[in-house]
Formats: sequence, structure tokens, C-alpha cells
Amino acid sequence: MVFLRAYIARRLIQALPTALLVVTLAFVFARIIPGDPAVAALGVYASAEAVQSLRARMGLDAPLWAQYGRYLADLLRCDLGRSLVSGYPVVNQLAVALPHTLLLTILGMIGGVFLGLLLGVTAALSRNRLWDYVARAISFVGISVPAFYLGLLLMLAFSIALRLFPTMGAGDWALPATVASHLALPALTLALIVAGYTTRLSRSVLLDVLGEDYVRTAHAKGLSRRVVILRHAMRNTLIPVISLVGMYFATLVGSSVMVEIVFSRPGVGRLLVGAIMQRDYIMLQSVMVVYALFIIVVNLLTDISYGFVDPRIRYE
Amino acid sequence: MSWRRSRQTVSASRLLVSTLCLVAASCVWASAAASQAVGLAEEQVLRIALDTSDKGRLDPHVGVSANERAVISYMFSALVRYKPGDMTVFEPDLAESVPEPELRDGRQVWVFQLRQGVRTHPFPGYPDGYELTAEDVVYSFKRVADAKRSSFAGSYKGMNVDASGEYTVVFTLEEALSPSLFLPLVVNFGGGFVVPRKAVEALGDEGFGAHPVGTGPFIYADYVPLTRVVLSGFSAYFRGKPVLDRVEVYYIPDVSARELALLSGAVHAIAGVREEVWVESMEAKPGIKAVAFGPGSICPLYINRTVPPLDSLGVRRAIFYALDRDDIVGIFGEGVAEPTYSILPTGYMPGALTLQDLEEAGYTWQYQQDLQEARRLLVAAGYPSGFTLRVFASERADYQLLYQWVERALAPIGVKLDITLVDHTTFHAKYRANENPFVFLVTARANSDIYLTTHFHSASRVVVGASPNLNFTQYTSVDAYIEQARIETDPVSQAEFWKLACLQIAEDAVAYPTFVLKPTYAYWEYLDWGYEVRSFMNTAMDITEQTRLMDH
Repeated sequence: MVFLRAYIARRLIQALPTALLVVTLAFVFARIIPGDPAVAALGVYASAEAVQSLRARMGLDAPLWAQYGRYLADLLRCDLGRSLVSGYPVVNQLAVALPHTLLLTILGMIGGVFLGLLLGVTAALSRNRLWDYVARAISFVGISVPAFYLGLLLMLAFSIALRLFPTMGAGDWALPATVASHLALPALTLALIVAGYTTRLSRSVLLDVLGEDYVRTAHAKGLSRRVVILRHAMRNTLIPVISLVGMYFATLVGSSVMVEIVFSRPGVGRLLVGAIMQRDYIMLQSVMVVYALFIIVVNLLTDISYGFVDPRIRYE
Repeated sequence: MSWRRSRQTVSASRLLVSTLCLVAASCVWASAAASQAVGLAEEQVLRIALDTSDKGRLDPHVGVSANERAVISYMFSALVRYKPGDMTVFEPDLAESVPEPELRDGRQVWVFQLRQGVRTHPFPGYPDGYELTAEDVVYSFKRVADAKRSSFAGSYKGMNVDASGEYTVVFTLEEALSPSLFLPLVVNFGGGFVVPRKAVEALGDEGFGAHPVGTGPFIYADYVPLTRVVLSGFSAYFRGKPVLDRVEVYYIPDVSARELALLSGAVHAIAGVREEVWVESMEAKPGIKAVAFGPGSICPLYINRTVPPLDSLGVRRAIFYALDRDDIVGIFGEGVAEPTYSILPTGYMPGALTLQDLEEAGYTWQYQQDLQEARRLLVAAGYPSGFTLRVFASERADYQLLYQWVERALAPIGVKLDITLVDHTTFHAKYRANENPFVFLVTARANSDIYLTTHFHSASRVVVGASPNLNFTQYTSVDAYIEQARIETDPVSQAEFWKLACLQIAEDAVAYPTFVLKPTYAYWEYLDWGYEVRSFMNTAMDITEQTRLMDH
């Protein structure tokens, strides 16, 4: 446990330069994208005088280094500024959007991993038989169909034809059932994507593992097939799957943006797209920082989880 | 015998006719009874979906986008309003009538008598609101003229507003304006909405923007970030309690998601796509109505006359001769794209040119495709083999269609377009920096003066103008007409000046009018808007106290 704490502390310190780089890049990217935020805020018909006046109020007429300094100082105080479009504090808007995105992404990931493992194991154990083909077909769909299209198809089937789930929104936190019903299809969309990759990987790894000597030894010892697979083969199958989860999380965050748009969920993806469309660079840089920090944390958690799955991995 | 038979035949015929009449009358009665039987839906909660990510700014003096203004118009009133569903007619709103201008001490004066008993929405400290008076109207117009608190300040310069008694407001103008220029300043669009002084002072500008307080038919009730704004019916609304108990405005930027929300019944109406194909596809769905409504936006092709070889009049006219208006109208569909031959669109902007005006003037390049003449003009201008132009096109679907149309039309005369596709904001940045020789801009403006001034007055030239705006043609030849029209108070003479400006622009071939593109909506047929849908100043439908949901 001491080693684990020291490891986490070390990784956090190592993450600081990365975080600073991310923060700086977010600041630069938000300012080099074409288009004037003041024009975006006032509309294209605004006069040059009005645009100039707003630029001054936004602090855009200050030198870039001064803007950067103020941005860093504000960040240290956890002040992300105010949205140029809505006028609301960005922190408040992120506080509303982030839980929806976290819930969606984590549920999509967990659901996808479970579904993927189930399909992968089923496929490996029934190699070149019907269930293998079925699992591989589902995997193929998850990998090849874009998230927004998959979401629309699911919505057509389950919301329009069967009327089982709502088409938009995220439900009311005070009514968990509404949150669950609004989450079902978006999470399933992400889960199918994750399951696509997990199925393929877990199938091929399990097929390799099943050919290993220690599995043959376990069978020879008279252990049941269930025990051999669950206790011996699966554990070794999980390590590459965890690596995949860590790596794929960034991609999943990207997919969640599209899913949030299609299902009209009030998540960070909606904030991001709205900020890009309306040149709300204050919001844009904040969302980029949040996404980047999110991925840094996920990578750290992925590294830590290796040790729980494989005792040979130590944290020194 | 024959007489009797004939008489019997006549009687039988009468009987048959009488029976048919009776049956027809019964049918009519039954139909009428049935239609009367279709009463109001039990739940009067209207849900609409707009094509944007979030609510933006709902302070009526700050919010500028069409979607912001739509929601603002549900909550606020103005002295005058565009008649719901027909923006060609002004009618009194907070004022008792639409006044005529007067002359006092050499100054033009507009006197508005306010309705009595108009109450504001409730706000902290005023649970029943309070009665709106002239003091509030004066405060409101001073606020909208303050550049630090308003996005519309520029339009309200040179205007003095005073209260003369509790219910009388007097506008004294430094420069006289015709009704078609003055009334849009006090109408329910742009900066004309009236804010209650005590509410703004109690909440502060920021608080007021977050929780707007108006006098319109609906009260701001709730906001779920990135999802919806909820408005509730205002029982003390001066035109009577709205039929709708609540309006929920959802923000769904993706059109497919909006369509599915409509078809699933989650919302009753959605903002659509400006393409006839979309309207037809929605109309084909059972129970759904789709409409394209006026006046729509104009989207001429503007040519930068300072970029060689476009600085040659012959070249510009050659380009116009090569264009086929019917082709681009057909691409968008006649249901949503109405061909126009005038820079000011016909129908609602005074001064617009008709096809007959152009024919009489002999400006054939403005309305007639003639490739032979186009080639001849290019040869005469010294470009027998044509030329290549670098052009920036917006990646937005409607803009891509427009640029592809021009590219296709100019190819036969040897003019090649080297098109770079950029995102829409970059597109705006490029023409504002005078870097785009061919500009399409889908525009809707409140009146002829604003449109001509921002697009064709020399002061509005991008980069080099005294007050750069949207004159990306770098045009300088109609300043006098625009300025004379602005101070002309006789509407007929004023329209004549605008017409002269349009004719000059046509003669100089700096902008080719294509069509008026209408916004579209789709909605369930049991939604009764409460007015005939014809035209809206905004690109969103009005929701009034009469709007209701019928039983279905």
C-alpha cells in the first residue's frame, strides 16, 4: 500500500508538466482558430465599432502574454471565466455537464467491456461455430458503424418504432428512473463501440491463452472447464483488455461528443461543439483542459489497475 | 301520360335533390359538429426544438441570434409589433395605436399612448409584478441606446425619449425618419422590446439576463442548462391569459435528432432545414405539417469590384450572363427558394425592383442567361480564354450548393474557381478581411436602409470603410441615394431613392440577386398556432396567447 501511494504521488507529479502543456496548448488553440469571438458573440451584422467595444470588454485587446498570465492565475483559483455566449461562469456550466458525460462514458465503457468480454469468450469457446460468427458480426458493427449513425439507428428502433426510450435529454437527477431511461440508448451506443474492440481482442487473446501449457496442466489436474477458464485463462486475458480500455478511453470521449449531440444530452460534448460553433474560446479552452485532465486521470487509474489483475506487476 | 311521367320524374328528381341536400347538410353538420368536438388537448404544454446548442442570452437588449430573439419574443412586448404570422403589418402592442409622426419645433416627434393596466411578470419583491408605465419605456430605450449594456446601441443614436404623463411616451428625433425606418426601432424585434425598470434595477443586468422579466404572454420559469428553457403562461397578460400553460423550448442542434424528437412525439414543433426536399419528406409523415414561411433571407452573389479582373464592368456582366437563376432555384426547390431579381427582395422591402423594371432599364445581364454574350464580353475585356479566381466557400451545406452552382455556371465561359472550403466562421473572417472576391451571404434585415447601408454604403466597406461592415463589393456609387432615402419622410419618395440605388447596383453588376430562401418548420397538425402562417421577421414561428394544442 505504501508503494502504491508513493507510485500515485510520483505519477501525479509527473502529470504536472503534461497538465501545464495541455493548459498552454488549450490557450493557444483557442486563440489560433479563425474567427473573432466578438463577431461570433454579436453576430456577423454587428458594426466594427460594436465589435471593437466588445473585444475591449473581453480583454482581447491585451497582449497575448498578458492574457495567458491572467488565464493561468485564474486557473489556479479554479476560475475558468465566463462563457462569452451565455455569460454564465464556465465552472457552473461544466458542473452541470460533466456528471452527464462522466456517467455516459463510464457506463458505456463498463457495459462495453462486459459485453465485449462476454462476446469474446463466447466466440473463443465456440470457435468457427454459430456463436463465434454472431459475436464477430456484432463486433464488426461496433467497430465499423460511426457513433452518430449507430445512435440514430438505435433511436429509430427503440424510441420511434418501439417507443421504449426517450429521444432527447438526460432526465432529472431527482428521478433516477428518468436518468436511467435517458441513459440507456446513448450508453448502449458507446457500449457497442467498445464491445466491438473488446470482443476481437479478448477472443484472440483467450484463444492464445487456451493453448498455453498452464491451461493444459489445469485441465490435466482435473479442474472443471468453468474453473479453468474463469480462474486461470480469463485473468490473463484481462491484462491486454485493460490496456485497451485505457487507450480507448480517449477515443470513447470523442465518440461521446457525437452521441451527446445525437441524443441531445446536456454533456461536455454539447458544450464543446457549441463553443466551437460560436467561437466561445473561454468555454473551448476550459472544455479542452477538462477532457485532457480526464484522460490523464484515466491513464493513471489504468496503470494502477494492472497491479490488481496481475500480482507480478509492482509499483516500485 | 307523358306529362304525368314527366311530373313524376320531376318530383323524383326533386326528392333526389332534396335527399342529397339533406345528406349533404347532414354531412356538413356532422363535420362541423365533429370539428367542434375536437376540443383543446388536456395538457397545454407546447414543446418546440430550436436548432442551437443552448439558450444563449435572453436579455432582449443583448441577445442577437435568431434563436435568442425567438424566446425573447415569447416573454417581452414592444410598443408596436409585427402582426403574428404576417410581418408586413404593424399593429399596436404596448401602445394603444400606431402613431403618425408630428413636427414640433422643427423636430420629428412620435407620441405613443400606452395601454393602461399592463402588468409585468412577477419578480423578487413584486410577486404580482407592477403596472408598466411611460417611465419604464423611457428607461428601456435609454438602456438599449447604451453601448455598454446593449448590442443594438448603434441603431438608437440621435433619439431622445421622454415621458409626458404616466402613459405617454415622446420620441424626439434629431433626424426625421419615415415610418418604415422608425417603427422597426420600436417593434418586437431587435432592440425594441421594453424591459421593466424596477426588475432590471432589482436584479442587475446580469441577473436580469439570467432571469428575464417582461410583459409578454409567457414568464421565464426554469432553465436546464444545455437542454431547455421553460416558460409558463402569464395569467395577467394584457391580451388575456394564454391558452398554453407552459412552453418548453428545447435546444437540439442536430437536425436528425430534432426530426426524431418530433416523430417520437417528444416535441410538437421543430425548426427545419431550408430545402424543399426536407419539407416534402416531413410532409410525407402522417400527422406532420411542414411549412416554409416568408419573408426569408436573400442570398445574392456579391462581387468584389476591386479585385482584377472583376474590376472590369464587362467581366462582371459576363459573369452575370453566365449564371442561370432557375438552376439554383431548382436545386433548393421552389417551395423554399423564391427567385428574386432585386437586391432588395420584393414583397416586404420598399424599393425592390421587379423583372419589369429591369426589362425597361435593359439590364438583361441581371435576369437572362446568355453564354454567347458572356463570352463576347470576356473577349472584349481581354480575357478570351477566361481566368481563374481563388475563392473561399463556407462548408455549410447551403453555401456549398451556392458556390458549386457558380463554379458550374462559369466553367463554360472559361472562368475557373479555385475553391477553398473553410468553416463558416472562417468564411466570415475571410470576407471581413477583404480576401474573398465572390461572397454569398444569406441575410435577413429589418428594412431597406439597414440592408443597403451595411452592404453598399462606402462607409461600410470592409477593411477600408469609415465604419466597416458588410460592403465586401467595395462599392461606393449609391451613397447619395441611401442618404437621401434615409432623411426622406415621404414613404413613396423614399422607396424611389431605394429603387434608384437598386438600379445603379444592377447597372454596375456588383451583386447578382438569386432567390429568397425561406425558413422551415415542421409540427404536428394538432398544433394550432393561432394565426395564419405567412411571414415572420424572425426566422422562428411566433408563439402567442392564442397558440394551443388540439385534442388528438
